[in-house]
Amino acid sequence: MDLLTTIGAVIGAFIIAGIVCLWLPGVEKNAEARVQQRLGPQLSSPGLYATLKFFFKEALTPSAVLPRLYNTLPLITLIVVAAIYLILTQEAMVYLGTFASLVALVGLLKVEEVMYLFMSSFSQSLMSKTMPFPDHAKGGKHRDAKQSFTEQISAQRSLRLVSFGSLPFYLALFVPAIMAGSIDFSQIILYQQLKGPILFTLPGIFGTLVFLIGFLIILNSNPFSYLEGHSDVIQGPLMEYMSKSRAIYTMAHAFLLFVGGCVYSTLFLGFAPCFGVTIIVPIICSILLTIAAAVVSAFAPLFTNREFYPTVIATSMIAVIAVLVAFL
Amino acid sequence: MVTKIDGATTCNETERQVFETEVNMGTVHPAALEPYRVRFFVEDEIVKDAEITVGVNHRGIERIMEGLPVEKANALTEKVCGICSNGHIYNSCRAGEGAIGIEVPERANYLRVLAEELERLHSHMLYLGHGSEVVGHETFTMRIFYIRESVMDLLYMMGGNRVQYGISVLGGVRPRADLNSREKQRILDTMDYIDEKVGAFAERFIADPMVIHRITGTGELSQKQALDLHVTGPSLRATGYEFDGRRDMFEYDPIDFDIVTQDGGDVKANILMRAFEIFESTKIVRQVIRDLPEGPIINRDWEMVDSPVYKSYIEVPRGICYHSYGVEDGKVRHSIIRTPSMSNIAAMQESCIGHPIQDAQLAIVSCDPCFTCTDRAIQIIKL
Repeated sequence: MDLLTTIGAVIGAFIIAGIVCLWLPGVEKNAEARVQQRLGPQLSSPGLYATLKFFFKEALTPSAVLPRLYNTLPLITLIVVAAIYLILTQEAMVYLGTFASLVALVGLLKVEEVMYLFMSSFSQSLMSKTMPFPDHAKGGKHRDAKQSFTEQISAQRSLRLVSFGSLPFYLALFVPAIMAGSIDFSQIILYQQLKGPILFTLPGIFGTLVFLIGFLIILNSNPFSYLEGHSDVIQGPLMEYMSKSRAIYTMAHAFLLFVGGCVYSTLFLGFAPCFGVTIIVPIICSILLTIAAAVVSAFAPLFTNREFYPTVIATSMIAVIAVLVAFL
Repeated sequence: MVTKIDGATTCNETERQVFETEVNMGTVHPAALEPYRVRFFVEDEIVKDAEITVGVNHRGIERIMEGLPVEKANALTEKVCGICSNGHIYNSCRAGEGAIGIEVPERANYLRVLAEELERLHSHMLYLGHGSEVVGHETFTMRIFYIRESVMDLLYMMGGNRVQYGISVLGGVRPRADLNSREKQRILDTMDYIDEKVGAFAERFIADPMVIHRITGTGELSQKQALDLHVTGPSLRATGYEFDGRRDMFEYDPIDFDIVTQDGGDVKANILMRAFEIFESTKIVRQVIRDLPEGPIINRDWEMVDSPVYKSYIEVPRGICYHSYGVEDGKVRHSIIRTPSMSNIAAMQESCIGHPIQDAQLAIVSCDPCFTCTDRAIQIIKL
């Protein structure tokens, strides 16, 4: 395939991804609603219409340190997620060479995680420290205590996620690499074309379980919405996003949902996204992943540190077992 | 008004403590049903101290009541709160009837008990729903709110409104609140439905290990702390202390019910308390319907007289509610309303301490706060 055709195919794959990903939030919301015996929103509302709606909202200067940089972070997140999709795209793999590998995937995902750290650190919403309320009245406790914004709690949690929270997910990603004997996506796909999908092996089953839990952590989806804990940090890093920034973040989150399905489909089934009929496999994977995330979210409470740490440890142990079995 | 509850430690001792950071929440916060301000003093996300400040809901209701005709003042008290609205108008009418010396017909007393128990049902279910939402389990929230709708329909049937039903009036209840045989049967059928569904909900709730792990040991309050802080209502009974204000209400004398208690005083005990009290309330409602006497529902045969302050205490869903006022020339004088959440604020503050900040809102919510009711001018008297 020559370069121009490749570029055209990649653009085509992105168009398909863009169309599909904006329906995934609707699938998620409807799946959760059905579990809760509700009707749920229209399929297109949470993704497509919400994005369009936000684009036309009034944009105010966010209450944040370096507001222009703060507003740019969702766009950077979207670009990073798009880059992950690019390295997975079958047509692009030929030209990207060793960049289309697990190392690049892990690196880009880490960058995406770090974005939340920056978002939380920059956001300084009115909802806490700067709420115009006379806290330090006569008789008040500890009037000299150092105050911090609620979002700083999210920033600390982002650091924990970056440090060890997402470890299970990355361990799961290496199961196919160990079995295929290579970190290149093209080699992993070739291995599965010869020997069958990794999903249908014992390490693949363990890896799938860990991938699901790990991906929920990456997505900050309930019960792992640690950064956006409704009951304490409200929206955490996203507090001050409005208008275009909020729209771009919504797109980035929806795209990440789709890309998660593509990552799974590439590594565990051997079907990478492409501009062709076989893109149906990553699409089905992303839909199933979204439904699974919604069902887990509907049946689980929000995890605090007491539940989060043991979950990460237990999932990592399963991932280590999967890795060891993969070596055998 | 700032409430300072820590009288045991001196100001110098508390001020000497150094905390990593202070995190403020409120007055606007999605996890809080009503506006209030909390200052959490945290170290590594563990709350070492807390301070709750109320006052943004103060509407001057007692001041407005001063000088109003008694009937109008009673109607106004219902607006104190939306969740426990019937408790306020009931207690206010009770205070007026006691002050003026109005004898309420027996049927009216039964209907008042019925309305109060229906309110207790919907309030406890709202508590379960809100608690589930703060825990992060929206499915449980949706399920219990769905069951709660059946009680709201009954309140709508009795009072013509889902919130602020206006059932109690001076001398009895409104004619609209009287029940015919069809309505009585509907109430009984709904009680069966609630017992079945809430029972299934409670079983599912208790069987969920993740939820139980979240709520066990969280927001713990000992019985001694609860008594020292003058906690009232289900929050006190959740620490194992057997006290229910309904035992002292003459309207409940003919009714047989058990006082439900739990041990531990944590969020789990509070949730189970309310769940089991739902079953007691359905039992009371069935007795009321079965034994509802015939007769008038309002006594209009009385004369307005001047009276000194008459005090009335009733057990509303959150605990003991106090209304008092005197009557002069048919108008209210010296009105005071003290709601159970006023007593429980101190418990909310204490129960946050020692827990992660993620559990802090849960600890506050577990005491079933109703800040809308609570905002009054408060005078703290040290004895």
